[in-house]
Amino acid sequence: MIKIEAMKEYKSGLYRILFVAGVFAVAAIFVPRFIHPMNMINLIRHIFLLCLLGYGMSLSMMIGGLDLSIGSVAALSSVFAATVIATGNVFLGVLTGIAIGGVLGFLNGFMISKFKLPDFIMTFSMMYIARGLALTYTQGQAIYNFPDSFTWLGKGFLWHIPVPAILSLGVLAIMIFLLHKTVFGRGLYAVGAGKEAARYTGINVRKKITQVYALSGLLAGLAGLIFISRLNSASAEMGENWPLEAIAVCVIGGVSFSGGEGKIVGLLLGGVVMAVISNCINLLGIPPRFQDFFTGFVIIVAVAVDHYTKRQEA
Amino acid sequence: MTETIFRAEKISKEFPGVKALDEVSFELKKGEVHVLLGENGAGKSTFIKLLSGVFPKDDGRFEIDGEEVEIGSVHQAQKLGVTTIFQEMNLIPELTVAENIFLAREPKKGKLGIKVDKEEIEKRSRELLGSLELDIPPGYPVNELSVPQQQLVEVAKALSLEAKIIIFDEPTATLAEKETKALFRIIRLLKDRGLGIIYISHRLEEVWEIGDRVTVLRDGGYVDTVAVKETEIDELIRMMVGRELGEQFPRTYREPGEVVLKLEGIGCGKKVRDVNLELRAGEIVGLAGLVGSGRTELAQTIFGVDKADRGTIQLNGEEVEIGTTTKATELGLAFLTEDRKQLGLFQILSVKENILHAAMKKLFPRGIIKSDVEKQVAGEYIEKLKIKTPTMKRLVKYLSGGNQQKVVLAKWLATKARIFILDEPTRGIDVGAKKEIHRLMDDLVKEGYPILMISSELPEILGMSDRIYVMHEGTIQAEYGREEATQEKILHSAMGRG
Amino acid sequence: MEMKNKIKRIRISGPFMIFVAMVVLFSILSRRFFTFSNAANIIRQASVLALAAFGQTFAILLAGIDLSIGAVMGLTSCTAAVLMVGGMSPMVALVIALLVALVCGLINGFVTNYIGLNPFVSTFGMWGMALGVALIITEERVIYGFPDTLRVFNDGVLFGVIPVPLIIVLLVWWVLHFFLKKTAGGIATYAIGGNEEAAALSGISVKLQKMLLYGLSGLMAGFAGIMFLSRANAAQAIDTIGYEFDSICAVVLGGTSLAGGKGGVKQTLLGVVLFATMRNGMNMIGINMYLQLVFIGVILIAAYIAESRKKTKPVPVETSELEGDRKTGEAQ
Repeated sequence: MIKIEAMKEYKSGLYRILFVAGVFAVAAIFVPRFIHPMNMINLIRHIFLLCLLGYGMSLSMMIGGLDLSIGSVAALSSVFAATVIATGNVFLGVLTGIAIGGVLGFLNGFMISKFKLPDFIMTFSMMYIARGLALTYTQGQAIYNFPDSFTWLGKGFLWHIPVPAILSLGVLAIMIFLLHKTVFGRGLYAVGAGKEAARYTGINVRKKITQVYALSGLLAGLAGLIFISRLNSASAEMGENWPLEAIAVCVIGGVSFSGGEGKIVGLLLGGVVMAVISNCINLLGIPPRFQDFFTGFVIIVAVAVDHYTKRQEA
Repeated sequence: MTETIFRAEKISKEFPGVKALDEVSFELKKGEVHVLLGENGAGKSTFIKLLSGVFPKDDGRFEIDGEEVEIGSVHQAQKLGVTTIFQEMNLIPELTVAENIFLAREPKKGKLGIKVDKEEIEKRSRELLGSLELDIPPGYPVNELSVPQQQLVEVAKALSLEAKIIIFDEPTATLAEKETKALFRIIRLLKDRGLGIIYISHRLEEVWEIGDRVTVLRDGGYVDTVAVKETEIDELIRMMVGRELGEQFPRTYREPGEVVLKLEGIGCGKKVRDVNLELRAGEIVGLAGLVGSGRTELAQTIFGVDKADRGTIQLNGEEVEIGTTTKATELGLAFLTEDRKQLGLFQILSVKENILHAAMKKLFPRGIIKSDVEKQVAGEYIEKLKIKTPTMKRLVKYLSGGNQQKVVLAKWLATKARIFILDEPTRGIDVGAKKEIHRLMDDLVKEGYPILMISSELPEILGMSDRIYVMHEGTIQAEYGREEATQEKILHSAMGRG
Repeated sequence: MEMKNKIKRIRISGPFMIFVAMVVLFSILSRRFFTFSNAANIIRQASVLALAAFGQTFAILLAGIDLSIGAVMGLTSCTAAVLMVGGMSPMVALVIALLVALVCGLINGFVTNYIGLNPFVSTFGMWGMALGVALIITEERVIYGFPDTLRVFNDGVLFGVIPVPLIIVLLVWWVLHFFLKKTAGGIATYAIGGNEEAAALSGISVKLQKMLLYGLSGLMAGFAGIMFLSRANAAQAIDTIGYEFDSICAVVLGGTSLAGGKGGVKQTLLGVVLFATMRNGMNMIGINMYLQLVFIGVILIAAYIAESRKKTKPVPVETSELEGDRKTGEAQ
């Protein structure tokens, strides 16, 4: 009897690993040059970049909300950061980028918890506002010419592994620690599992919500920095697809819309699936336009399967 | 007028852990108002839910107009002529009165037959409302009507469904006197038309104002049916309450200590009006009262779920302001909620997580969790409270009611709380687990902690409390010491009769 | 007795006041605003959004949402374009394209109501799929070079004065408004959005109705796509992405409640007019087009807060019933 719970968790984790292994195996067999080291490096980078998008989104989803503004927040914080970085002051620029992201996220959280705005409306509006401010600031022009010390973040390698992957892995480790090993993380899951119940236990729900969205904004800012470093230019139009891609990564990774569930490690799965599909599509010479179709389809299937298995348990 | 319109024979219904109805029989005549009486938990609400089609019965038979019927759904019940006016509104707020009455049955007009005949609906609604001599304009949206008016619209809707039997579930709970009279006028009209009315209420006076016969249920069983003219209040109360107090409650009584919690003039909104009470160390104070008397709301005010807007709270002699639950837990308060599943536990989290999460800040002041400490503490409480679960990782939703309640208790014990408010701590729990929880409560007060226990089970109140407060419509109606309290006295006070 | 009860129910529509205020403001700030040709311009620009927003209205009335509208629009226009370039007659191509849109909507409805997924997820998935298919059939190119027949939807003018798009929008609006306010289906829509359980208890087949209404939303997206095609005279899969957000904006601005059961196409039409006027006016007075986005975001938040503040308890209607029962002579 004791084994059953452990078995269930083990099983679902096992299924996920098997699924990933299966995907890799199929890809290795049917897709030429998949296993090629160059491809693997690109793939790894892409996986972790996708995960980066997912971290913040998973936080807001786990608390039962949604942060649609991540792309726009990244754009706004990045263009300001880029301006500073282009003058040579890399450290200050990085700080700016992250800080602006955090402030915008805090605003989201504050408005949502204080005025009881639905998460959707607030982050949706913030999406417009941040994007508009970013575009106004740059007037559509890109900012370039970053010092090498900065572009290393996006393009460099550390022990043959792309730096973005390492950074993302670092963030992953921090997130895992935060969510599973701290009081803050437990409180987050609690609020997601039952807002009212959490309140009745003395948890300051408003504070938690504000903190989560601030974090989401911070992570968006960070992601923005990595992206502009990779592209070596910052444009206010970046990240338009981010919210939807991030939701995809989260949903495939098992983070539930209703909150309180989901292990961060699942995001890796989400990242892998999305990245591998996109990679294979490229390698097979299939035009990239098929990708959107697959993404949409996979999301629906993933959620439906998850939904179905939950219903079976009930 | 003495024709039977509805009969129930030996109706039984069981829920996990609790037998809600045990071979209850009932008979309703045409043109009569038959009052259904009983304490909280006596089974009235279950009975009418069965009759309304909300869920199916386990045993017994229903007969309408002499023919046996099966009531499988609310829709079916309506087709058979049974409509229930519940306390939760069953109307669509943004639609008009007329649209609500004829929802899904709208008469059509026009060449293609798709246009809803609004004039016809309004005309018929007007007639319907007029036949009840109601002055409600059918074109107004339902959410612009007051609650009593909405209730009357539901009655009109029932008539339009050609109901033969209308059940009223505590209709006057939220009504003022004027509105109650209006409702009674309608009920009399329905009587004259030959409908059968089943009426549930806690206000005993109403039995004589509107009732023809009254049936008393007790602990899920049928007690008796009497004609209203031939009975009086004391007899009814005796029927509702008269049980052998054979149950032994595990309590050891001792001299209580200092006053730990003191409320003076506490009020919060309309539900809590003027409460004065004291809680001393080492005692269990029972809080009795009918549903709706404001007990849970009082607990919520003490615990900071709602902020008191008048009066003072004193903790250990010092005045405090408890405006948030965070403050309450910091001050050492614990609140075991009435709604165990939604508010007391996180169903999708594990036993371990549920036990620990309220105590997190105290266990790990630095913010970092040590999982061996977690396991140890959780394990301690699982053992101490004898929580039956295969592993602490099991999701709480798979546990039985009694064990779930123990998890909630463990949760609060883990926070090292010093004042406990328990709202219906043994509701829906089997006998064995009940005893265990009572024993745990006794252990708690032995150590000097005070407990404020809200309960609707009179034996539990009488058996477990050092002192008893009885609440009625937002204030403390009476206070009884352990020796002097009896079930009749408590029920009398609960009904506002001193 | 009824006379006594005719209490004035003054319904001040917030969005309408804002609209009037905006028109006044923009007219003062820009001479070119309050002209006939500008009005015609606004109407043409708004017509596509209007159709898309009508569809969104239904999803929102049911307390759901439709995130696939932009992509379904694109799929519709691309389908029609590709078919026409392939030689099919424009009218047939149009019908087929609209059918495709309808099917997309029905799939949304099916997945959301019968499989039980959150409308966010299901319509978002459809977004991806519709966009994908559109990209596939157009091979990511811009499609043009088809007969001009469809242009009449945008350029045409009736009686030399009234732009055809206006007529189309008003016609569609009229049909939808009729549906919502005058048919049993419309009442059922509000019932489901307002109190789904009570609706089901009254015998309404909730799942079926919801699915069909999502289908309707898809169809509206289809109309919007055709309108867009006639305006642009070329089709590219990604052109219409973003309309889902704008349509949500318009619906919320108009006052339809996101919680469902309240609002309607009348409100949405106002919301669209507001949105389009706002954009146009801001252009006229020279506000940076990027800054406009900021304004839209801020106004959306303000509009929502204002709308939710309005939820104070309405004053109950007085009826003589509660003033005392004189008929039966009972003492008060």
